[in-house]
Amino acid sequence: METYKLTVNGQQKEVTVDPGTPLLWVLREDLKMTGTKYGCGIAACGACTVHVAGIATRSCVVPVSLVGDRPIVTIEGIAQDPVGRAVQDAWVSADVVQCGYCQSGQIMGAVALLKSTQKPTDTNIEESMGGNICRCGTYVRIRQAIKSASQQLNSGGAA
Amino acid sequence: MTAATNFANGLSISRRRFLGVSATAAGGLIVSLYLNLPLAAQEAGQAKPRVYPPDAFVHIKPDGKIVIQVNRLEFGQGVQTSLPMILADEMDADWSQIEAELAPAADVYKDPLYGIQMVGGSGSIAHSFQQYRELGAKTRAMLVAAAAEQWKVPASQCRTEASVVHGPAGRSAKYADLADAAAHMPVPETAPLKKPADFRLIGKKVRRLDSRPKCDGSLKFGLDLDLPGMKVALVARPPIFGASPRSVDDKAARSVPGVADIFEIPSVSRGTAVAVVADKFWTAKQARDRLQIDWDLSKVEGADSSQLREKYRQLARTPGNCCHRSR
Repeated sequence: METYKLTVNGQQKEVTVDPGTPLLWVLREDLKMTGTKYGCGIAACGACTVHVAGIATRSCVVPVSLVGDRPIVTIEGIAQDPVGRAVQDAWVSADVVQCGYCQSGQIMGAVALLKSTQKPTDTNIEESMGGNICRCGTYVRIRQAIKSASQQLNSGGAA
Repeated sequence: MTAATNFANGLSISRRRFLGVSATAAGGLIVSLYLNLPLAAQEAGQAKPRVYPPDAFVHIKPDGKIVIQVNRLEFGQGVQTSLPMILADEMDADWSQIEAELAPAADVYKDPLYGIQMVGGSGSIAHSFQQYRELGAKTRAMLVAAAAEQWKVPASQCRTEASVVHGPAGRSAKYADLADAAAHMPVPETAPLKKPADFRLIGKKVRRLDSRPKCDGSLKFGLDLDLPGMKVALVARPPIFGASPRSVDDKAARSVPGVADIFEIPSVSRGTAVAVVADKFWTAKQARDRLQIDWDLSKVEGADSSQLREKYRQLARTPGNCCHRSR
């Protein structure tokens, strides 16, 4: 067991866990932040996506010991970010979700995309979001919502 | 399917008493119309609710919010919105005030056709359309009856719209204000259903009720449940239906700190599985990965299409449950 100091959604957290514990389980079980989902456990589905130092990261395969002092942002904190808020609102407006289990990861992926590419094309979206799997097949509305959030952000509509 | 028609006279009285108690406990109307207990059990006085409020479908809160219990799991098919739409339409409820809740485990929430509490086979609407319409219509009738009694007018002179009962001479009352009185009204045996042309919600496009909590991480899925002192179990399942362990070496698995127990359990699809119980998921996962299991495949069932077909033929000739009988 080791003790780690983590910055999660701007807050300092301390956990004492096995160094090999994936960040996902530290978030879900030690910090009780269950918005980040466990899907495949092998970085193949994207349900566990969080931001580590701004980069969309599959938290199910990142041992907590490798996080260091990089700030972590999860679905619970993404609304503090104007891009995050715009994406969430676009998701609700387009009624993207169905079962919703993958959507935390989808939203985290979409926010990372819009931060690096302000006006993503269909190809950008497919390349960037291809690793986020949705069993319900909400991909068409995901694409619509990303474009609508992009439009909103680029028209200066985001507060 | 058991409906209000199955209530014996004596039972209706105790039923009303229950509804009255519910109204006091929750502050509002709780309508509970479907008690799927056999008549014998009802006559023996066992029809009282075991836990509050598992056999309720509609809860009108004093602030006007109406909580509708959804007797299915929401897994993407939209049932958390569509079943409330059906009930709210017949009830003439204000859609903007509707909240949906996934019902707990209880007999009343069983699928009317399958007779078990489940979701699947595209049956949510097919099996519960009539059920939710009747629930809405009966709830509406009880609210109207309460208003009519208050105003000393015939119920036929009242109409309803957007969670309000309108009576003669410009009188009106909100559902929320009628809820307590309505809870003391007898549950009607039947209530008229709308003509499809009068539907306000059914067949119209509405926004999903579950979008926002699924976009901010706040919606609790089964895996998110966290109870005090809760343990986590992971199961090493047979690699083939019907297989069982010949031997299990769990020495290395038990040495993982935080493992509470390891034992064999019956597998869902016949055969035997090995369960690992631990303090956390990651502990259980590490322990499960360290299990050494020698699987015995000798009892694995060989599938035979012609045998299966004959079995289905026989099953098709046995009587089933009736969900809806058209007149």
